[in-house]
Amino acid sequence: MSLIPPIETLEERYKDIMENESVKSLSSWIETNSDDEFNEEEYLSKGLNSIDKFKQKMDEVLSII
Amino acid sequence: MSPFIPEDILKRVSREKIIQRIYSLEKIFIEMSNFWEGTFLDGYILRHCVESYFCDLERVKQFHNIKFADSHKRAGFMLKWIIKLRPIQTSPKIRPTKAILLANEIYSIFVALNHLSIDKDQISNGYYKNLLYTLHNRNLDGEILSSLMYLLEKSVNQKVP
Repeated sequence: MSLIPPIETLEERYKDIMENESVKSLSSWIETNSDDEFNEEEYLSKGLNSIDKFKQKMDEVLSII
Repeated sequence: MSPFIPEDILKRVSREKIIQRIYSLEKIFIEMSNFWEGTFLDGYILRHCVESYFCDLERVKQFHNIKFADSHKRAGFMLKWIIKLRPIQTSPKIRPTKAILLANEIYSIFVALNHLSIDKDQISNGYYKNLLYTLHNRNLDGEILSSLMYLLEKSVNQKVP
């Protein structure tokens, strides 16, 4: 004999928590917005164009550590 | 076959994306490498970073039903894996400078901030110092780092979060 009751029994037992309206609204809340698809080319180009300034900045930062 | 990422996640991410990201990160390291004379970027650790980053992002995207991860998550999870796995390595013969000792932190900040819509120069030296300290000494997960990146972007652009 199984330790776990039949699914029909469980459905009945947990009807409230499975069908609750507040739970439903939370589940739609969890669907967050997504961004645009990532573009590797743009990412690399932006990085390469800002490296020199960043290195200067880090020189200044390391001088105060 | 990857030693770092389950096969089904690898298929969802695509081998092409992984290789392209490895290339971008390597290229950025090469351009910055005179900053860390005597260091090298370990290819295997870098691959581990990139695959773990994509794997971790896929997990978050699946849980939150997100199609494309936003820039803050990409930045936060990039920080997490570079700091955790430390792909910039040094030879025992090299006498380390502050820049070398903090090479992975500096590199991770650059590649993470590069995901955000900010001018990296607009961040104060004091905040950079703080961020380096935090990354070097504290243990923060990808989600918290993503939130930090979100707030930083808003703050630099003088927007209400």
